[in-house]
Amino acid sequence: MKPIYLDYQSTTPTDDKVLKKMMPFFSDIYGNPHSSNHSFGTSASQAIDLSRQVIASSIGADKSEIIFTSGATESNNLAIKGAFLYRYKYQNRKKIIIAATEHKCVIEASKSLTSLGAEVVIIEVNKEGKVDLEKLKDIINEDVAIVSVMLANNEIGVIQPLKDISKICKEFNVWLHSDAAQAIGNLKVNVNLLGIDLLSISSHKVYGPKGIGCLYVRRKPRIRLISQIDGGGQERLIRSGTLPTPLIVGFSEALKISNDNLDINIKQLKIIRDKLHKNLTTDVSGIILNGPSIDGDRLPNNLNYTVKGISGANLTEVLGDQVAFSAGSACATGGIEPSYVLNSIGLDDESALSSFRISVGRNTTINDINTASKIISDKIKILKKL
Amino acid sequence: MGLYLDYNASAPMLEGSMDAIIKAMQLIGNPSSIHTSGRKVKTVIEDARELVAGTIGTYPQNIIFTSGASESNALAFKYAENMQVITSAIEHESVLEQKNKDSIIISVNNDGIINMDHLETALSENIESKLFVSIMAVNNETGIIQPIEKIAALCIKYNSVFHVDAVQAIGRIEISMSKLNIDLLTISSHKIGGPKGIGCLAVNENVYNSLSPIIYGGGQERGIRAGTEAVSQIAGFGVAAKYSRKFNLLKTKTSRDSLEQNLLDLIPDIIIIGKNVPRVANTTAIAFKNILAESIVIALDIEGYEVSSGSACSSGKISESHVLLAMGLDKSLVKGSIRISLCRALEKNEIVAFCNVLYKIIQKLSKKDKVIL
Repeated sequence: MKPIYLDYQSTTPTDDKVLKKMMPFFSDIYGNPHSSNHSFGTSASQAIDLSRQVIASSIGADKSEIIFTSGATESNNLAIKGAFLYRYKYQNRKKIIIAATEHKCVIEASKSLTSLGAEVVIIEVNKEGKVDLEKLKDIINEDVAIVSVMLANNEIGVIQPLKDISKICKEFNVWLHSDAAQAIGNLKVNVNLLGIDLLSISSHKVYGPKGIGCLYVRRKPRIRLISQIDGGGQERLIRSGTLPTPLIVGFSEALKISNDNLDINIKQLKIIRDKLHKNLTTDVSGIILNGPSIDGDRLPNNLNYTVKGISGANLTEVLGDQVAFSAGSACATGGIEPSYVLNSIGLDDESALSSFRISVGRNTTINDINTASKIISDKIKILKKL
Repeated sequence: MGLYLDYNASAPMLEGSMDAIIKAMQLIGNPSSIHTSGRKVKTVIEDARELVAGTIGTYPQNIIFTSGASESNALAFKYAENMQVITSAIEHESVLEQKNKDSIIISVNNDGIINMDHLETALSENIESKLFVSIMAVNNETGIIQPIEKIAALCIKYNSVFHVDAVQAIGRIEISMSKLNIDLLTISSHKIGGPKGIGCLAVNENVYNSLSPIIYGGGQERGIRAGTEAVSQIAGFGVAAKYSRKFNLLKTKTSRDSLEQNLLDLIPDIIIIGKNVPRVANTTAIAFKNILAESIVIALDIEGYEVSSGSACSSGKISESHVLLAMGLDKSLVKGSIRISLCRALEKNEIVAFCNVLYKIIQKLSKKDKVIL
């Protein structure tokens, strides 16, 4: 039997319709999109242009504001390093503010800049995982180059009050970046309504191919970045390298599919997720939901639990061939360090290590949920007796 | 009839690569996850890593997958921060953009070969500094092959780190990091029939410890390159790398040579660039007198033949080739240069048909463009 896949926040399966759309671009239309003179090159570049349009409009942006990258990690690196280096050099702004619950790549990218003069301020979150707005007001000033707060968290699914954060940033003309890798496909995202200047998106979290993503870069008012990969000058000199046409076409199709059915998808995810929650809380005594309440500001596909006395890493590993879910985020697994995200919402190391994340997706059925929750709760009961 | 003759810009996808991509895309899971699904996906990456490593004569753990050659070159040059950079005048833009004001640019001779005396002088004069030499193995515009073995020997003599951009070499000539004593090697997948959006920097153990990332995050690729791996791209790249070991270029060379001879017979005053030095078998760069290359490319395109003027990255904006200028080619000839790069051996009638079409175009244009120039 194939394991029941409940790790959609780690990655999603590529949609068949997406793959189909990509196929011709792998085989027939193989021109280099930058060879603008001949027709193979032209059809590749037309496809990219159209994709850019689709992707931009899915977040309320203009196509000239989309920079393609190899994925959200690169987008986050480009946003933070690119913006900091520009503002430090030309505007003498040396501070970077990030939330304690940011993805590892945001934290690491920020820290890498300290040797160049950056001062990184980590802002705490409350028990739900939300950024403390009063604290942000206290520390923000005109020395701050950029604030980076993820739209929705990868481990506990908390949705941040970006609109309020944006208002605070605007007062001091601070640029606001948001990692939306987990939000896209699970939430309605509009960069203008939220007041976001830089937004990272990943394709493989929305049923698109891996190895592609983009960074939204606001044009009005103009956000400027120092490029991190130079060369042929593609992507308005911000990101060089031959564009991978099939991946871009797949990425855009994935976003289109997700956007076309967003409201229904969100409703459905919630129904499935809530059912799973009900099963587990009924069957497992002492199970605690981490992060926002089930009806709170939480992604519709996310669950994160602590069961005292049960090692999350152990549980996910022994069940790995029946149910795929994870202890912490995918990038951090392998190690047995407690999740810093759970630590930041007040869990001690022991509780953090006794936690696991389950995330449902478009293909998850009620049957899957009933089978999986039984497998998980049975295993927990056995482990507790040992 | 028509032909795609722009292999060096982007190679058509191999069927084997395509199959590997589709298979990998149907897998589900993040390679960093420890559950069964995740581990299965991880295997796909590790298998491909072995194939790529085998092709370039290094160990699998030395392969750092990136989004492509531009990123690989940028990563290699991140290593060179605070080092004395020595590179050549004919490198790809992604290398030339990395140079700083202190970088030493080695000239090339009229045949496009690195001036070895100039290189040795630069190395010996800077022996006190930490040295970093970056020279491409094969030029993308002319196909001219550099004496990598000799350059490597100089690097050893002067204790310099040696980076090679081998994007246009792999699949055309044998490139072995261990045999040639190369420390850092850049390759790209889509130039050998693999997918776009993937490449690698191969890193010898001796430089690995001092390498720092451009993209920070989840610690993938031995901590050098973060980001969820592009699994399907990597799978396709692996297959292409394997196939590239077996490209039979003898027939391609015969086709290329016969194409050049045919053209010379029809238009005797063309210049075949690098004709007397080692070149890869599939590439020819031809300079036409008093004609704009852009006009030739567009006219050929209408007839169904796809060639290029200069390299793909800089076309669109019409700029003169820095490679040909560095070789001392007259400016008017630089403006009239096109690159033809073959994907495979051509049939005799294909060659004749192409040359005849090109000949007619040149005849027409030489009347028109003379007025413009």
